[in-house]
Amino acid sequence: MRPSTIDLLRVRDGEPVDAEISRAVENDPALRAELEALKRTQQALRDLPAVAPPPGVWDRIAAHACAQAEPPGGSRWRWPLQGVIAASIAVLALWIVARSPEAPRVDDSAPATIVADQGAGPRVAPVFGTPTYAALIEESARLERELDGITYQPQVVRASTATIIAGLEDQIGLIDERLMFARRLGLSPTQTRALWQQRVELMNALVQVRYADAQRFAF
Amino acid sequence: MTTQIPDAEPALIAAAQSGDVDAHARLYTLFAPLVYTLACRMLVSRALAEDVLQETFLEVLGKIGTYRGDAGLGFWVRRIAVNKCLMYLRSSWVARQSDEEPPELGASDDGAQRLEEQSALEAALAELTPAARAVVWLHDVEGYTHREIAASMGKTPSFSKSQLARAHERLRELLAGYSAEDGVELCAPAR
Repeated sequence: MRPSTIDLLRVRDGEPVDAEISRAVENDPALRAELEALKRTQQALRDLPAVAPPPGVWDRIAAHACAQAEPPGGSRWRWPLQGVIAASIAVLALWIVARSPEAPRVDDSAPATIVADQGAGPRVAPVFGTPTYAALIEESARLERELDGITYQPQVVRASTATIIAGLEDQIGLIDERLMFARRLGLSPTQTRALWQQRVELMNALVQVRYADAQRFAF
Repeated sequence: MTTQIPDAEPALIAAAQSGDVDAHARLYTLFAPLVYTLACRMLVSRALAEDVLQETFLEVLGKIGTYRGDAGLGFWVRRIAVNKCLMYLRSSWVARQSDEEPPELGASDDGAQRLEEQSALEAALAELTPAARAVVWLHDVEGYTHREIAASMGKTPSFSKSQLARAHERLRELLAGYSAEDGVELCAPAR
């Protein structure tokens, strides 16, 4: 039986192997060459140079750390202010859900293209100016992480909030589906970016709604 | 020899734990290359690596008071960074990004064969699946055991072993088919 790559890696790493495998490696020049190649690749990976961090990151970290270190606000305006913020977020979320029909949809008559509902093309909302494709994906990922960090207690969420959350999640799900099949649907980079932009907006609203809701239990 | 982990003097750690901003900056200077390199190699994307760098140090500074010195500070920082990288790798966004965002092509270095080989290896590494790349880097470079990798990734040691084997098989194929003209530089090295 010819030793597998897993076997050869065990030999390379000095892990115990069957005597049969050891003998095979000793007696077969091709296996020995393969083993040497595995060692060389490992060494080459270790020899890859260190990568210098980009400038400016420390400044951002320091600024963020400073902001986090500030004492929690005990202002008498805290409650009313949070109420206003929560209400604003709810309005924003409802607005985003309400405009969902404007999301690009696939035209069945032309499978390789995507069109917008009448009167409105896929649009890039000017939330971040003209963000790059990568920046939108990054922002989506960041919002997703932020969302994970918010304590969510579905059993105590207000019905109105639950409706908003469900609406936002549905919209995000629809966009995810389109993004997943973007290539198959023949979406152009602009159309894909528009979908990502919409996803960022919806995620942002979802984070805000969930955050506002979580704040109800934070006092 | 696996990755060299720098360590911090006890006085520096104590100063950082007392909230000394200069000490925080020195810790960053000491460990940022380690964290950024790790993130670049595991995630390929500079933007994601920068995120990991930032998030790792926010956590390090936020939790430095809880550090008890059981392991070297460098190992503690690296563990946080690895967890951040794995968190990104678990995200569907990374899978989608690696599917849709092509690596940036750069000119290959003239002459120096070593740099060409490194460039080829970086490009091949970037072609691996996120899981295979994470496993091969953590095992072969950072010196993690299969058991440790499995625990970090929420998988079995067998998963780690098979991913490592697949990673090497794929690297062999990719490196065999690489030509120097295809030089790819995903994360600029500190040259």
